[in-house]
Amino acid sequence: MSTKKKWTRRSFIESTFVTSVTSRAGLTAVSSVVPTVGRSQEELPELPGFDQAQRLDFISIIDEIIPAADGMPAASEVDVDRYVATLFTQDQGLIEAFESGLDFLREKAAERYEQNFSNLDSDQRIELLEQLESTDPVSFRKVRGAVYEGYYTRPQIWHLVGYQPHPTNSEGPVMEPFEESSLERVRRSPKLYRDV
Amino acid sequence: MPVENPDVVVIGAGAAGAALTWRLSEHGAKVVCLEQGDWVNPTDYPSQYSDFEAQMLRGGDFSLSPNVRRRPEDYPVSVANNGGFRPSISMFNAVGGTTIHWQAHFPRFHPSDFRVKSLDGVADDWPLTYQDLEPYYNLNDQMMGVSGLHGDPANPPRTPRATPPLPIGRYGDTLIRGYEKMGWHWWVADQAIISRAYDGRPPCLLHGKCMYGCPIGSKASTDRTYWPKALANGAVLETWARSREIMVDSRGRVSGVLYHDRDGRLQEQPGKIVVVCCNGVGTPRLLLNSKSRYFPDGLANSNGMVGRNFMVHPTRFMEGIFKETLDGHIGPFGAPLYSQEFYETDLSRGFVRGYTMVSGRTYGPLAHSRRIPWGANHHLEMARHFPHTAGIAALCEDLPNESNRIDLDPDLTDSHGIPAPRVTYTLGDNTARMLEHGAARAAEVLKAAGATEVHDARGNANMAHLMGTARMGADPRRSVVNPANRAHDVENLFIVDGSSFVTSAGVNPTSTIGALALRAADGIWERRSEWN
Repeated sequence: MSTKKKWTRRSFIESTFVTSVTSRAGLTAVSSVVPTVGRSQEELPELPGFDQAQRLDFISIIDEIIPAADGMPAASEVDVDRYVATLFTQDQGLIEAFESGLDFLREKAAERYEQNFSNLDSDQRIELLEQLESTDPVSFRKVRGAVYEGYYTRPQIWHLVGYQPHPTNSEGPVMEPFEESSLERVRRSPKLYRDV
Repeated sequence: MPVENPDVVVIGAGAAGAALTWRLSEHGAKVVCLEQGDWVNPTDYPSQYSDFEAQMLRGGDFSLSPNVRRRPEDYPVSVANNGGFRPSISMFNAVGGTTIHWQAHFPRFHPSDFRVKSLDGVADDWPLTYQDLEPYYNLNDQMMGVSGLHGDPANPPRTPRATPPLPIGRYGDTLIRGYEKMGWHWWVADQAIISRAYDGRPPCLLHGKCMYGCPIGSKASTDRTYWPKALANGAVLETWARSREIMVDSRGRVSGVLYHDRDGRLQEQPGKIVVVCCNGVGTPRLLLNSKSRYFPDGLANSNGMVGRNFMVHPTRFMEGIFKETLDGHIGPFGAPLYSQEFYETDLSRGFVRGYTMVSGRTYGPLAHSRRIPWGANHHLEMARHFPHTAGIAALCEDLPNESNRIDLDPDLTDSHGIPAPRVTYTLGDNTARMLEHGAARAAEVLKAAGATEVHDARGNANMAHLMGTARMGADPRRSVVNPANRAHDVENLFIVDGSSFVTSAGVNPTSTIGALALRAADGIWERRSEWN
C-alpha cells in the first residue's frame, strides 16, 4: 500500500488549481519534456525496453484514460504508471498491448501531426486513442483495464470516491441489525410454495 | 502416500466430499480423501490486500475460472462455441473446493423442485422428496453455521436459524422499499455466514470481501467447518493428489483410484467403496477418463448418460443507479435478501418453472469502474455509479437437456496429460423466456425502489453452479446413480455432488449438495455389510 502522498479531494483541487494557474500563465513549457503534473524525467517509471519517448507517451496515455478532472487526480499522479510497470513483470501480454498501442499512437501522431504523441494536445491525443480503441479493441481494453486497476486499488482513490476498504484485520463497518418488523406484510401473506 | 485398507476413498474435498467424509468418519468408517489441490492459507486470501479486487477480476490466482487462474492444481475446461450463449465455468480446486470463494448464499430447494414432472410435466421427478432430505438440510445447516430467519411463507417451515440475520444496510433497506411498493414477496436470506460466534468461529465483521476469502472463518468454507472435525475423527486427507482414473477389478467393481501425487508419480489408492465428489464438470470428466474392459465408454456410462444434462443457473443481473449513497460494498456478500414471488410455476408468465430474484451485494470501486468510460467524463460517471448502485439477479431454473453435456476435449489436457472436459451448452427457449421475465421484474423492483436508471449489467450470464451430469433416478436407462447416489452400473461406486441433481431448481445448490452428501454417507454406512 502506498503511503507516499495522502490525497484528499481538497488537497487535490488545490494542486490542480496551482497547475491550472501556472499553465495559463504560460509556465508549462515543460510539456515537451514531461507531459504530466510534477513528474521529472528521473521520476518516469522504469519500463524495460521502452525508450524515453515511449515512456513519455506511456504517461500521456494513462493520463488521458483517467485525466485529472472533477476534483480527482490523473492516473500518473497516484503512481498508476509505476503500478502498471509492476504488472509488466507479471504479464507479458500487457507489455505487448502497451507496445502495440504505443507503436500505433507514435505512427499516427507522426503521420498526422508530425509530433510525438506526448506533445499533442489533449483533444488530439483523445482522437488517436479513440482510433486505437476501434482499431485494436483487445489491446486497448487490456491497457485500459490495467490503468483502472492501478487507479482503483490506490487507497488515496478509495478515500476520494467514498469507499471504505475495511481491511480484514480491522473491526469492520457499523451496520444496524436487521429490523424484523419490516417483514410484517410478507409474514401475513399466504404460503407461496406448493405442497407436494 | 496411499493409505492401507481404507473402507472408503472419496475424491474431492469440497462441499460434498467434506460433508460425506465427516459423516462417514463420525460413524466410524476409515476414510481417505484425495484432493488435487492444497489447503489454502487464509493469509494468502486476496481480501487481505489492497489489490483484492484485481486478484479476482484481472485473473490472478484467485480468479473464479480455472482457465484464467491456471494454478498447478487446476485443469482447463473448454467451452464449445455454438454461436450462442457460452456459460462461464467457475470452480476452485482446494481443500474446501468452491466454498473457498463462494458467496455463501444458502437457500434450500422447494418441495415442488423434487416433483417437476408430476407437477409441471417437464424434466423428471427426483427419486426422493424434500421430506427425505429435510433432516440432512438441518444437519448441514448445523455443521456449516447459518444466519437467517425462519418463517418465510415461500418455503416450508424450518428450524430457527443458528444465528440471527446479518445486517442488510441501506442497500437492503432500499431494495425492501421496492419490493414493498410492488407488494411482492421478499425475505432476508439464509447465509452460511454466522452473525454470532458459533462452533468456535467468530461472527462476521461485515468487511464485505467474502468472495475474496474470509480469513476469520465466519463464512463457512468446508476447510473450516467439516474438515477439522473429519480429521479429528481419523479421516485422512491427501492433498496434491490428482485422480487420473478409477480402477475396476475383474468383477467389474471399483477397486480404488489411480492418482498422481505431489511429485507427479502415479499411486494406487485401494478402497472398498469409491465416492466421486468432483463437481458437475470434474465428476463426468473423471468417469469418462476411467475406461476399462468393462466400461469402454467410461465408468458407470453403459447408457451413455454420463456428462449429459449439464445445467448451470442462467442469470440476468439488473443494476439500478440511485441518487442516494448506498453501502453495497460493505456487509456480507451472499445476499441480503431475495424474492421468490416468481418461483413456482405460473404458465401465464410464458414459461414453466421459475426463478429467485437474488439481491447480492456489490463489489468495490474497481469492479464498478469496468463499465465506466475512459476519458474526460470518467470521474463524473464513476461518481454517479459508485456508491450508488444496487442490483438484482434473476437466477433461473435450468431444465435438463441431454444435448447440454460434458465430454472429453480431443486435444486439451491438464498438466498430467489427462484429457480435459469440454462443455457443450445451448440456452433453452423456456429459460430464455424466464430470463426476460426476470430481467423485467427486477427492473420494476429497482425502479420502485427509486432507481433513476436501470441497466442490464451483463446480459445473459450464469452462476458458478455445475449440475446434472451424473443424474439420479430410479430408471437405470435414463440416469447414472440410484436414489442412494450409488451408480447403477457399479455397486460400490457412489457419485455425490451437483452432478447427481435431476433438476437444478431456481436456487443456489450448495446446501442441497451438502444435504445429499450427508444422506449418501448414511446410506453407505447402513450397507457396510456389502462393502467387501
